[in-house]
Amino acid sequence: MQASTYCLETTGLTHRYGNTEQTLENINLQVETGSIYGFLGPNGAGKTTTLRLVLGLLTLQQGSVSIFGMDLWRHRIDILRQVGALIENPSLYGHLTAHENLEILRVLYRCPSSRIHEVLDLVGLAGTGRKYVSQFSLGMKQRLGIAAALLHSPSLLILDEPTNGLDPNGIIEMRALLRRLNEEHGITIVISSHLLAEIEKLVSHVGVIHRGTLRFQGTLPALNRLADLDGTVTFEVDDMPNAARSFQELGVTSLQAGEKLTVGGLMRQDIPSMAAHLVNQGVGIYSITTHKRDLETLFMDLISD
Amino acid sequence: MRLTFIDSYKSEWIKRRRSLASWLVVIGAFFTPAVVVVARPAHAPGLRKVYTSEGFWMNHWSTSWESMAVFLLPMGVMLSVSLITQLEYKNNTWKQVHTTPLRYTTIYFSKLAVILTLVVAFFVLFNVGMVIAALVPPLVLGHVPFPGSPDVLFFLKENAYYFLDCLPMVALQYLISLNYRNFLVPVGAGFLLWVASIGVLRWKYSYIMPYSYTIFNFLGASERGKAIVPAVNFHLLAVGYFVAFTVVGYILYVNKKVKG
Repeated sequence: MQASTYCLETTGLTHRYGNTEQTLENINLQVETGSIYGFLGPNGAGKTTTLRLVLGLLTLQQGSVSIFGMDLWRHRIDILRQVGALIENPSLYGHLTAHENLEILRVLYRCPSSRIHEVLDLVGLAGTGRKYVSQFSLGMKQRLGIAAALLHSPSLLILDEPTNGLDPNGIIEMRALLRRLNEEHGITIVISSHLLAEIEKLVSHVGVIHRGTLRFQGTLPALNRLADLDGTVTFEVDDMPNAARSFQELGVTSLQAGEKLTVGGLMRQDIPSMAAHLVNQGVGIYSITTHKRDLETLFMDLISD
Repeated sequence: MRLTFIDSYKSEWIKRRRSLASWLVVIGAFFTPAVVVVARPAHAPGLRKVYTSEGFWMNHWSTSWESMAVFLLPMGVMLSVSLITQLEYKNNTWKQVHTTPLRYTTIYFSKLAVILTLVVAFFVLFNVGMVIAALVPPLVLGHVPFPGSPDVLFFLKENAYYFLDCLPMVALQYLISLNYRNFLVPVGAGFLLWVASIGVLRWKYSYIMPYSYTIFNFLGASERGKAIVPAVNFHLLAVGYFVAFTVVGYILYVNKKVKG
């Protein structure tokens, strides 16, 4: 078997519900081993459908899914043994306790009993005792869902909007937990969300989906570079004509407004050399201001039609 | 594979804890014996004669099974099978079940095995209840003697027949419940089939109705009832239906396009 650099890879994933218009079109996800992959998109973009296909909950119509270098349909059992998942609302039995809910899975995965206490402790539900899950708050259910996904120490964790129902403190705690799992245990995490701000601080890689098509896929720095690109930089200088001439020599178009020159299409890393060039030309610089698109704006641009 | 099945069975068994289906099994099993216990003291003067008669156990057996074979057992099977299967829909847990490292075959048959275990538990509890109901009057009322020994082999054989006869209901209710999220669909379908079975009881081809076999088994025990029972081996038919419904249910389940 050829080792793949991707922990999870989909090729040409296309799906349609009944006779409706195409739900997913040619989705090629590439999740690197050891990464935290943020799968972003507005509600109804196709995130959950993609993740359900990845987990085999929907029958593949077109394309393929490979996890740990193995084809999902040929090696479903071997793959699922190493995957933990939380899709949409947590799957829990309301008439049972948190411990009993995890016992159902512990028996299947043949984990030691102590593991139940470990994961309950990890998500802060160790003290729920004989309380039935139906009496849990949405946040507690969400945390128990994550405990269930972590019970068998999976190598890949697939979480579909796991912060739904969590309060701001809960979101921060979950982010810290996921980061710790990734850094200390090397677990690859795929986390979907419709809010970039929510996972921006957590993920190393991003995939943006909208209307069933993948609009961007790459590392977070690559997304940042995309945000930087087409951003503008304003130089406040003491010698406007000289500065404008200097930019012209470099082939950069500038726009004059009062004592300021605004330059477009610069990358963040171009700013120091540009400033040095101006200084070498005898131009004094009072201030440099960047006006890059923030990630949120870029995200909105990516998901606009 | 065998170990996985046992693990899956254990896992399924945990789910039925405190579930409505489990309570239904216990309450349903003790319902008729409880009615018998309550009713007997009302006939206290005549109980001595009843308990000293040679056919006490056969009469007691027949009284206890009358409502059970015709009504309570079919209803109990319909409700408990549907409730057990609906646990996954109600709790939105099919997606979790289908992302565990289990073959669909294992999931399907381990669930069915748990349902069959509950049916067996129902029979055991009902028999225990029946014996208790028989022993309460002699224990409570001083003038009523203890009855003689029952024909245990006959009871075991009849229990086995009733179990076989309810299997088509189990398999068909399971098949329907697996395919419909709405609890009313399997229960409604089961109820209609049961009513239809009773409606065609005197028809010469009534044996084609898979919900009529427990009634036939009960009727077959009395001379009057025997006339209605068709001259076919309906126990064998019950097994045939059970196998057929189980296979069809399995094929439909495995080929479901959406699994959670």
